[in-house]
Amino acid sequence: MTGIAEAPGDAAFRTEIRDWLETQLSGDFAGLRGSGGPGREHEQLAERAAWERRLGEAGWIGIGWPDARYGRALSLAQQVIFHEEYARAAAPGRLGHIGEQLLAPTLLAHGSEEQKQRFLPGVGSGEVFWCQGYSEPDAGSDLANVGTRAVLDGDRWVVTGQKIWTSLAHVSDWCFVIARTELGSKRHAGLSFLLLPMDQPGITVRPIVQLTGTSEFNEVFFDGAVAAAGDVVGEAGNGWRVAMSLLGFERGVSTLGQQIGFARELETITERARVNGAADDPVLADRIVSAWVDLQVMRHTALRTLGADAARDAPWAANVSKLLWANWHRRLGELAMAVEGPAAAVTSGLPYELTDEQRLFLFSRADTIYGGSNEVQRNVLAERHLGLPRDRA
Amino acid sequence: MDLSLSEEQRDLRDAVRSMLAKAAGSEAVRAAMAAPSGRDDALWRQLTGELGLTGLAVPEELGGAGATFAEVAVVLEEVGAALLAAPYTSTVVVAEVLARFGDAAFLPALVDGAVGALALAEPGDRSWPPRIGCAAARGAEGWLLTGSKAAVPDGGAADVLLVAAVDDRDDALFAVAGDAPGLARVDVPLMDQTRRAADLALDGVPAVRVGGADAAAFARDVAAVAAACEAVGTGRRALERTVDHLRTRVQFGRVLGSFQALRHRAADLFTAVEAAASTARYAAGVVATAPEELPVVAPLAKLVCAQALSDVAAEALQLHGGIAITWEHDAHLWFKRAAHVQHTGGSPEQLRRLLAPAAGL
Repeated sequence: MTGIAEAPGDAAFRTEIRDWLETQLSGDFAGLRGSGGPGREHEQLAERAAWERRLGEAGWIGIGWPDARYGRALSLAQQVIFHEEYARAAAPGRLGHIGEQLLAPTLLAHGSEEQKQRFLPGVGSGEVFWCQGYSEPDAGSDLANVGTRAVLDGDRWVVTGQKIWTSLAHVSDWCFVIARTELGSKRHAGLSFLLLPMDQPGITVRPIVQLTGTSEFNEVFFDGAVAAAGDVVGEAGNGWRVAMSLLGFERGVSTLGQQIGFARELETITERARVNGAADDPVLADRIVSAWVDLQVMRHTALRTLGADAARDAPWAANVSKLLWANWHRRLGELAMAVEGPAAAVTSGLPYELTDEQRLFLFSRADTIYGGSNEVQRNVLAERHLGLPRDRA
Repeated sequence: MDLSLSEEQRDLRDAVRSMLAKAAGSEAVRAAMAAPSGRDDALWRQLTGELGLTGLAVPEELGGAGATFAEVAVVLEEVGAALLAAPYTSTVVVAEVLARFGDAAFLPALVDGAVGALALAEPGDRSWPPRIGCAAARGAEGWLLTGSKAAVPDGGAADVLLVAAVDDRDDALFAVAGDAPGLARVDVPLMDQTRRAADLALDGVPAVRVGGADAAAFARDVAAVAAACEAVGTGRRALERTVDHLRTRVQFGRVLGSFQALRHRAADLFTAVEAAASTARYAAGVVATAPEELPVVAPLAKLVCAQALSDVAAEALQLHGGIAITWEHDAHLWFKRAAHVQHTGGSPEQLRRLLAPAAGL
């Protein structure tokens, strides 16, 4: 048994995307296999931008957007198939996924017709990249503590403040930002969801050098940056609801694809353990089997959360899945190093060229922090799904 | 295979749950624990003959409901949640094996209240899969079994026993009637008193051959899946009761559940239980639709679900505080059940060794 229940036509769809990827990744884009993605976002940026345009031309962006005027409104099963095949082919890490998977569903749910017509085609063609301006130095896990301000001045918003941990801001054309638009408002009230072009004098992007020595996150400074008055999504002051609804768009269609990538990482480590003798250590062998076991459990959980009655059967899916994969991937990084033994301490070159195992070990520490830290996930589970009270003395 | 519970499955779950809430609450479980038979006979008749729950996955022409093991799994979770002291799990495992491997003669009785038991492990053997020493020999009128079996779940009350034995070639599986000549049964006292087990001594016991090594392996795997489903039910209930406690118990002027140190542990247990439940459900689906996956999926499900239950039961004790150390509270029942599941049917270490080839080692 593989994957989720498939309908007539799904097998042909799988063949279509598989063949297309094989052709592309053997031709012009042969050098892009395995490039990019978390911990590797600094790789081959120009080539990956060209790849996004190729995806767009072929109609592979926005396949799950529910409005057929902009996307293809494909079934859940076909979206899963796309992500599985994409991962199986080791196709490059996406540059356009923030626009495709976060901004577009938000516009489709809350945007005006004018906004959809203006922004969605650029995302769908792979030509316009977006970044997400949510976190701030004082608003990380406590996102409602946003301090970036926007003041309406005639026909434009003037934005002042700072965002941080903004993935891919340095290659993005636009940014969606949560900013405080009502003076003196607190917490979730008085926020707005604004759309800003990145190429303007009021915006400065500063890459953050991460523990790997490379950069994919940035600080973004807004100093009198400008958004058109009409480029607020939903109503002004209603930004929290718009921003949060975005979290509900993820139904886990990419999860099975993500797990194919995880399986490949684990296979590489397992093979390495067989070759270098690490697998002869029964304790290490036991850890490898445990990692494999937990990956199967994640797969079964993903299949369950993609079931027809999942909304009722597994309303906790997003939080449970995040905790499971983030913890699993972090442990995998530790396992990769353990399998290497003393060689784990030696890099592959100067100035700071990390091995794949080292990169996994180091960057996977971010997994349990970004996208809602483990602690935030546990609080949400406790409050929403276990009915426990908030932690207020 | 859709792994989310369908509306019909939810209805089945709710019906069994409310029935067991009335008939198999903590007092009833304790009464059954103390009874020599280890069960409430009236409740067993209701579950089997009246409701037909042991025949859910038995074909209709043999008196069953014609559903699948996925529906049996729904009941198993409720049976585990209630810590039902009755031979339900053993019986549905035997029914599933007989429905698949052909000896239909016993099935109508199993649907109608007869008890089934699966006899694999033998005295002094701590290996898994168990080494089979029990011998099957051809007699003038059929097979005769000679040997012994250790702590067979529900073996004392069983009307039909499936016994693993070695025939002239390999491991095989045989059906034996509970009242067969040459069969001696001695009850074994268990730490988990909600269960019953018996040692068997077989001395030329007449038997019907159910199948070869594949039948013996299938039986072992279905038993593992059933144990997994039941463990999920127990774990989920133990967690619900623990969360209730965290929601209502006040210390330091606030409810315990408002302390993040405790909330986070509850959230981690919830994650472990629901993830394990997903694997148990997948495994139950595999019994019905893809048995070729069972040799990997069954030990996987047993491993994961027994661990989740063990984690929850241990934390349930700690989070309930002093009351959990008393006989009166149910926490020790969950904890003892967890230990029973964890240490029988393959230890975590043995199951992981069994899974090593699938993991690429």
